[in-house]
Amino acid sequence: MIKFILRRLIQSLVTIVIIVSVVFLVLNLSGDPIRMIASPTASEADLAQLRSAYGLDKPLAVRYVNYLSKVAHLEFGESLRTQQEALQMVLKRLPATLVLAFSALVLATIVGIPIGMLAALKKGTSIDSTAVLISMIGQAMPVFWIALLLIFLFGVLIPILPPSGYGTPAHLVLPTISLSLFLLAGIVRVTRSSTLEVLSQPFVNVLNSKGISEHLILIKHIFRNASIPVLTQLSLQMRFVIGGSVVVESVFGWPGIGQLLAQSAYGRDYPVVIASTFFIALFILVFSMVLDIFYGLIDPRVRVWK
Amino acid sequence: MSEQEILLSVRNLRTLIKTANGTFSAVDGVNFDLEKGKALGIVGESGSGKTMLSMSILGLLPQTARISEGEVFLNGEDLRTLSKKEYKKIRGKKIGTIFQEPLTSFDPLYTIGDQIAESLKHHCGLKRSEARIKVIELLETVGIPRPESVYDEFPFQLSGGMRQRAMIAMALAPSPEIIIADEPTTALDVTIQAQILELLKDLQKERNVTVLFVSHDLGVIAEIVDEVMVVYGGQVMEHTDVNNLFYNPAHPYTKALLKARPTLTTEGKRLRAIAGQVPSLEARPSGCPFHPRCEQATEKCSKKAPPMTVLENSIRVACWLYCHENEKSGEQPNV
Repeated sequence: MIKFILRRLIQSLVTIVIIVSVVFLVLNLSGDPIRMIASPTASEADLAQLRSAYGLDKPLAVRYVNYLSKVAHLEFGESLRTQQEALQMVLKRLPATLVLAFSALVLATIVGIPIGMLAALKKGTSIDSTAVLISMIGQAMPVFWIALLLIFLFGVLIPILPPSGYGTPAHLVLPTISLSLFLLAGIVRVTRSSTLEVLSQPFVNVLNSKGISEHLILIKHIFRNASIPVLTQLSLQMRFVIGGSVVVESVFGWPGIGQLLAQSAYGRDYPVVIASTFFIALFILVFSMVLDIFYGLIDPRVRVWK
Repeated sequence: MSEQEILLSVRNLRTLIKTANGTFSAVDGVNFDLEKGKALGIVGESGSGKTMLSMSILGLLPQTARISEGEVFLNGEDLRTLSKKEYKKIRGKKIGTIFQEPLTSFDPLYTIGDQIAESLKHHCGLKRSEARIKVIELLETVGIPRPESVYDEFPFQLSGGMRQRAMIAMALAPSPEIIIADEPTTALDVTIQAQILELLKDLQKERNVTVLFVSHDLGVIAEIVDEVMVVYGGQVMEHTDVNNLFYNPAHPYTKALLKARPTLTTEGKRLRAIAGQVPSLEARPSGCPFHPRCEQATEKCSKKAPPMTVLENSIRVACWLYCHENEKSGEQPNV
């Protein structure tokens, strides 16, 4: 198990170097940041001076090596727009995003898995078709639309929840629901189909023939077997949590990384974009590593082979 | 038959299956008695209803199927009158089951030992440590080498033959009175098949367990059982002892089945198949279900199902050929 975790750590390190490199290249292809920050009337000499001040006059390869060593030391430089430390800007906003992503994930999982299992156990009944309908609606509605709808319903029509802002648990409710609905729909669908798959396995028949209690069969055997594809679904949908949080944070004025990333990408604020991307990548990697460890805990075939 | 204690008794059992095209009987008025300590084989082609029969006895029918009439007595207790909860206590505890697929019959996520101990803990109230000792003993009984370490191994770490041995240990764990073995050797290769049959035979003798052995393989049946019931179209065609099955078959279907077997002397020749095919559940013929494929069928066969006739040597056969000869000896009509 320890070997497995170590190997996974090394893989993650390689992944993050690749991500950071791709971000560097793409940003350098996307235009000249000096022209964005300098006034339109600045002379060529002024521009050249600014370039050398930010180290942008050196060849790409040199800048790449410098950049990598800086990133390794978590030095992302100053924001081109606000002159604040990019690292500080990101770290300040990181908790808000983590809280939002985590609560959306938890909500989607603890609601989605029971609904999916129930639908599978009651296959063909109205409970099942309702669950399938909910998951279809959840996957079909875009996040910004759900967010606006929720603001209209619970912020304006029946004003019981704050429509935007950050601070109290009440502020968390609407953004969390908006972000988790899509996730939830996917989890319901995958849990339902994986439970049906497990139910059709011969070992369920064997368990029944042993005369042990149905609760034991359901929790110990069916749920554990059915949860493996759900884990895969979760790790695949992490991308969505980040993409969705950019939208949700903008709609609800939630001061997280998503909002920061969107703003600085528009302004070609390299250091902030790089720092945000770095932490988002780190977040996804840590999350998928935790999920991989879960795989090992749930499925002995993963644990014993590696 | 009356001298011995009868353990399992099935009376006029009928099991219906609901399909998109209507409701059909998969098991159609089956009667038999099984004495304590004996082994009864149920033989039939695929689709003859033999698995549905054993599942009906176990009370483990799929949602689309139900028993519509008849009784199943275990030790004189009518299982059909039991509640779901009471039936669960019988299952595992009094009726052990061995299934066909040793590969997929274990939950892949738990150790062999844990899964065998599960029913011991549940039915006999054993503690974890007590169950462990008992399970290791059982694993040894079924001929698994190094049982202590196999206890902590996962199903995917064992070979097919080992898994089937473990499966047998699991069925035996709460010391059931009867074991229903549904094609237990079908998925195994011939050498392992022989070993497993040998094991089952030994266990049956040592522990005086009654066995209901379901198979499509006459050779396998010959190895292990005392009596054989030939099933076709959900009905019993012939109920005979194992010697008479091979040397003195009565029913035309049994005779045809025996002729279709490959033997050492028929090498190089084409195997003789029974003409036609097993009728599907939804298209069962009227009268005797075998009459469209029977070489000796008469007009009567298509109109009315023959009653069960008892011949000398207590062979029971459902065929008009025999009913003519001894008009009076009809048992329960097999309609």
